[in-house]
Amino acid sequence: MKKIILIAAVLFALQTQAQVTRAMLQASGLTCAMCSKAVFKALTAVPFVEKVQPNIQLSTYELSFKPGAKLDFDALSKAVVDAGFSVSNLKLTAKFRDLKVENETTVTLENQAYHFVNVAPQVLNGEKTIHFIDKNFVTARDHKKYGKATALKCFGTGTMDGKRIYHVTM
Amino acid sequence: MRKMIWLFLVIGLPAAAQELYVFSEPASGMPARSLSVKQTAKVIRDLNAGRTASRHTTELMFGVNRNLMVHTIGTFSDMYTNAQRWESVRLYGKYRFFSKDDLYRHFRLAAFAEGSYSRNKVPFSEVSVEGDQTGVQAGIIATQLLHKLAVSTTLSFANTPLSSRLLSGSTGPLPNNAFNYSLSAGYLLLPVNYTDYGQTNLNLYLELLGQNATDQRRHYVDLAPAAQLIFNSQAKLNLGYRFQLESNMARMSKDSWLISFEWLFLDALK
Repeated sequence: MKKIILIAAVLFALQTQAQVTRAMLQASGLTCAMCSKAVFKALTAVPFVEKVQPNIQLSTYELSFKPGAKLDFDALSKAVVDAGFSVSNLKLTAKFRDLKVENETTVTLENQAYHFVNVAPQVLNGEKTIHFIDKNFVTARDHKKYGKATALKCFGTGTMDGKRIYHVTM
Repeated sequence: MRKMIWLFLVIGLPAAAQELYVFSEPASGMPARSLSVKQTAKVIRDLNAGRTASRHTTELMFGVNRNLMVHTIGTFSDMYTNAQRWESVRLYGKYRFFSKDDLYRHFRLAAFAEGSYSRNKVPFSEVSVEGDQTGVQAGIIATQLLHKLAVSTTLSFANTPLSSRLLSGSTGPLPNNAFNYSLSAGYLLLPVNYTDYGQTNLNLYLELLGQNATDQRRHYVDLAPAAQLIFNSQAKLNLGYRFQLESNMARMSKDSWLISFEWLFLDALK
């Protein structure tokens, strides 16, 4: 019982250790404004997305999320892929408070596991940006590159014990 | 052709290249669940009959999922009759089976197949399922986007059974099997800087379109420059001129004008 309370306390503490403010997604394989608009519309239709601010020239989309909504980053990737393209970069900006991270550690934020790769030990405070490095969020080349930095099997599958785990770096 | 590609590279226009070709299909498909409607008019000068004739094509295109798209096509024409009449129906399907995306570049492969039914009995040696004849066609498309340049090639085989043809044309027996090929390139001329989906685009294209009959020694090679305006990142207006470079085929016409308008509805199919 004590253990459960302790875990609950730790989880609760972690939940308040980061608050997502915005995300930046870059789509790849695009050729035209018509294609960019297809991606824009697809991202706008994702339920937890509040607003999408596109930059056509750079193929980037600044995303803000509905307050309190559960974030599902795979849904963002699926939206882009269904529009006919791929995600080459996803960055998440959050306000952190005393979140301790180091290389090859997993932290749980709002019930979602994040595994940190290729980071120096540090305590995150204030607004910081983390990069997703899982298969559907970077180019194939970058995914391969990051694969060399971690020995974990879950980096290839994106799941651990059947649960989704996102791999991130700073 | 290589010269042309180098010319495009040297010009190095500061925006992503275009692959929304006017006379051919790219390997890329449409966004999933989208619908597109296209109306095309093709106008020719029929040299044999000494008159102007036209074909009007209505095309409904469906993005079934991220990889599959289907077109249903109907045509009206007075090319083989004195007055406009319903001429043909066609079903076209394209499946993208390979994609390698990178920032501002991609390489894609797709396979396509189509079948058409036409009311015409054609006396010309050109093998065509685009309204002229009943037949089938299938092939492979490869499209490479290299930052500022998109090139695409299509290789296909077409068969139009002799039952849909007159047994012999003015120049002897008609071919009914052909190998088709195309090489297409395009780039965005305007706007120089992309800031808004409302900006009108001007794209220029140059396409090489050829056919070699496989059952007779007959062929043609056409060149087709085209200009395209895209309004509001949603509607396309195409204007193209296709003319013969070289041929030993009996054809209705050596050149044609094409004008088409296409409207894309994203998320139209739920």
